[in-house]
Amino acid sequence: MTHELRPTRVYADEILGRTVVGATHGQWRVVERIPRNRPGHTGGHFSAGYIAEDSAGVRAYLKALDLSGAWLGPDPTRALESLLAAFNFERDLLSHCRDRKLDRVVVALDYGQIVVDPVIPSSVVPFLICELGDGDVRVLLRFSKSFDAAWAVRALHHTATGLMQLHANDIAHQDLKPSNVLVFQGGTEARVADLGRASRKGHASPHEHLTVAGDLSYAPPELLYGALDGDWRARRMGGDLYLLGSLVISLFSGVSMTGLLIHEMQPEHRWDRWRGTYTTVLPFLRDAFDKAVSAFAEQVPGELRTDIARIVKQLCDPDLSLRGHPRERAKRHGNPFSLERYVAEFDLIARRVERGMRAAVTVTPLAASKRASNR
Amino acid sequence: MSALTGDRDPRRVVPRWRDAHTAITTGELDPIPVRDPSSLIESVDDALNVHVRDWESHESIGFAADLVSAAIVLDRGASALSAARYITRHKAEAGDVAYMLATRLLAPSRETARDEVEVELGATSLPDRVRASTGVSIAALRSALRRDPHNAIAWLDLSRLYARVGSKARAMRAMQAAVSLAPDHRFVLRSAARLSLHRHDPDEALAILRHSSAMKEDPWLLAAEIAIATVADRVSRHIKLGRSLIASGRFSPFQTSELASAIATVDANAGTIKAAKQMFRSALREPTENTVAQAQWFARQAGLIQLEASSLNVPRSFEAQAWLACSERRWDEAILATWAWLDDEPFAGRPAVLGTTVAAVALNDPGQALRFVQLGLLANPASDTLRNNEVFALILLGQLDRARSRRADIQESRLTEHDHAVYLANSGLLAFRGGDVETGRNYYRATVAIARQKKNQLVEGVALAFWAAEEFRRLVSGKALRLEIGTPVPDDPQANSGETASELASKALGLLRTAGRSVDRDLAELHLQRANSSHR
Repeated sequence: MTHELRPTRVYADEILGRTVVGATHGQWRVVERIPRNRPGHTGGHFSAGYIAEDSAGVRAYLKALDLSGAWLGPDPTRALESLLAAFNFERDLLSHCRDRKLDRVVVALDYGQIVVDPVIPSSVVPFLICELGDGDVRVLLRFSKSFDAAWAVRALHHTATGLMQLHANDIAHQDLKPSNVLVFQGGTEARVADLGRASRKGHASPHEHLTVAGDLSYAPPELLYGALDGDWRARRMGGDLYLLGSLVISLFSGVSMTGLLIHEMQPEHRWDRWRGTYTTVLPFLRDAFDKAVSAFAEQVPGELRTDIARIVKQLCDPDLSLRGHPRERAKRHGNPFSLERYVAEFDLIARRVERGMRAAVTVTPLAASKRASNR
Repeated sequence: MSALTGDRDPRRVVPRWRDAHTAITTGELDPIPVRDPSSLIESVDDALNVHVRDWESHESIGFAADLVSAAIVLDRGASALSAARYITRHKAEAGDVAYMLATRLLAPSRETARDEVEVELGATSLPDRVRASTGVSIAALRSALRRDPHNAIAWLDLSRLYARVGSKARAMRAMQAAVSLAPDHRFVLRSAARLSLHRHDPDEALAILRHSSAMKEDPWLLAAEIAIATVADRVSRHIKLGRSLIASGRFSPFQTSELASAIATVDANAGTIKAAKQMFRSALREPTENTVAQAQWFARQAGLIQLEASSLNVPRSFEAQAWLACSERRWDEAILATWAWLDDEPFAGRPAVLGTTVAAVALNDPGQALRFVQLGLLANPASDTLRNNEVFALILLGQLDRARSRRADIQESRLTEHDHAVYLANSGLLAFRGGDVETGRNYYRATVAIARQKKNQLVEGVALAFWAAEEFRRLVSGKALRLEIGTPVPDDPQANSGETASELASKALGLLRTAGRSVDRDLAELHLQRANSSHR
């Protein structure tokens, strides 16, 4: 039987906050607790976030696993088993990503455990140390006239690259959303974070049994409607493509593709009411999808509108058989969910926008001086 | 004589064809249950809490939009009201998309029927206004289809709009695209079958339904197949399967209502009244409005069943309400329900025919009759029945030249017997109103002769009633003229026929009584009574 963990009233940071700060592990020393709500705190109900510092003063994010919550549940041994399995799965994934040098994925720098109280055997706190970002992309989101399109597209380029790196290693993220895209270097760099809900082909994943492994509010429609494709690539990588498309919408508008889709649908067709097959609801979803993309496209700056709307349509198509780049789909033996073309496209668009901005910066003083000389 | 109302025309439970937005509200598109989303719904609150906590600690646009979006997906709008208000207060910073979602949360109700585009066109005619507004909707759909040609719903709605303005070939092409995209989808298949019927091609409708693998599993599709087979004068091979689906208990009474109704119709036509009654009882447990209309037709025509008044409360029961009001001579209500019926099925000829007759005869409002007929002709420009109706309305409006011109457009040789009788009667009416009394009488005599030959007492009675009414009308105008010039009024002369107007009326009433109770009889009697009383 699979045991689904439920959060308890006691959270890790409330227990461990007093005790873990100051602890050391190798070159790392825990220096500060991150409030649960701070962006960058990617832990769930059973973990707490800390800042750790190495001897050279490099700061990192320490994710400590709170096993104490498991003891308070109805079946502690099963809960512990599940928690540790999930932790180990994520640890192994992050280590794998580090070993493969995935530079657009937030990887593990170290891991280990801290014994909080040597007298109490159960006070062992397993932890992971990852790179520390400046926060998640939501902090930087503004959609006014001063919207920074160059930043948004560059962040998308970095994120798509990170996702492609994961896919190249047969890892599907499954929970890509704004809070899981961390920014570095004052926002100029973005990386994919939190592999806690990921799936690795050929490896048992602790969340494999869940219909929706990631955030329900961002989930691809086929998963919300229970249409689970038996093919790992279609279900997991196809889902990631949708989440990447949804991230495009989030960076340009703040809302998710799923939010826009549901907004455009009749209540009768909502995922939580519909009791029919996905095939029978698909034509209505598709109709809502067109309206959703059109509404979104209106907000995209004119020079980017066509490209961004097209990319979103391809990435988020509610029909899995139409999702992805048409040229990749057309290949007989290709990968319809390949991200290569999108990485290249985001890079190209980002360069175009950046060039445009540089031109504007250089042209403006000239224009101004010309106006001045005309006076 | 106007065209008859169609009261006695056979009725089958053929699928309605509504736009997607409206069809959804009828429950006709509710799925056959195969999944239970409750396990996912259980995790909704956990999923939402993450966004709520983030928002509570970071009051900014990014977090507000994130929560509003999540609340819409998770159907927890109340948890995101503060975020939604924040967005509306910071509209410039939020952007249009987040603002749109935030206002949705703050004011949830909205109506977005796609083909209800209104255009301001001043004093142009009703058909022109409809044509223009439909044109705007068509352009919007074509634009949507350029963006995404895989949108089957848009193709369907486009097809219906083309049908509304009489572009049947375009309607068919759009429908074919929809069917190719969703070849087993109930809404698509029922709409496609209905369009084929609209094009008078029941075989094509049957082929569309039978080609789908979904038909034998879906009571809605099976209902359509059985009903359309009767239109094609055949008996479906799937009636036994239909009965077993109803008996299986796998479907709600609402889901099998039209199937039971379609089988009841077959049973009734075959004379197995007991089985028909049993099926109608099943059909009426949770009826669709189409079932109500069907049951009401049987109640009206054959007294086969008793329909409870509450059945008419089923939403969009416009057809049943119109006919019930007609049969109870509540003409004002009848005309309102008929407008609603025409609005519901703007491509259909039946509501336009009924509306024309009731407006022209019962309400003495030929202007309104003309509006009905113009809308009917917009969708069915080749309908001889509606062309006859147009001539009739124009005559009553006194637009005799226009009536003559429209009458000349009708090819007499290709008319059905029914339409030919109406055509001749209209010709008689036109001659009378034009002052050519003898020609008028001859046309009416020809009409009566055809009806008598076919032993159709209703048509004969209606023709005689309208003829008599014209004789009375002539007497009234003659009386007024003589009174004006001070000569005595002759007693009801009918120079060539030997029959007085009163005798014609008496004969008409006798035939109408023999023909049995019908809306057409009521209308003819009313018309005659009105003409007779103005004569006295």
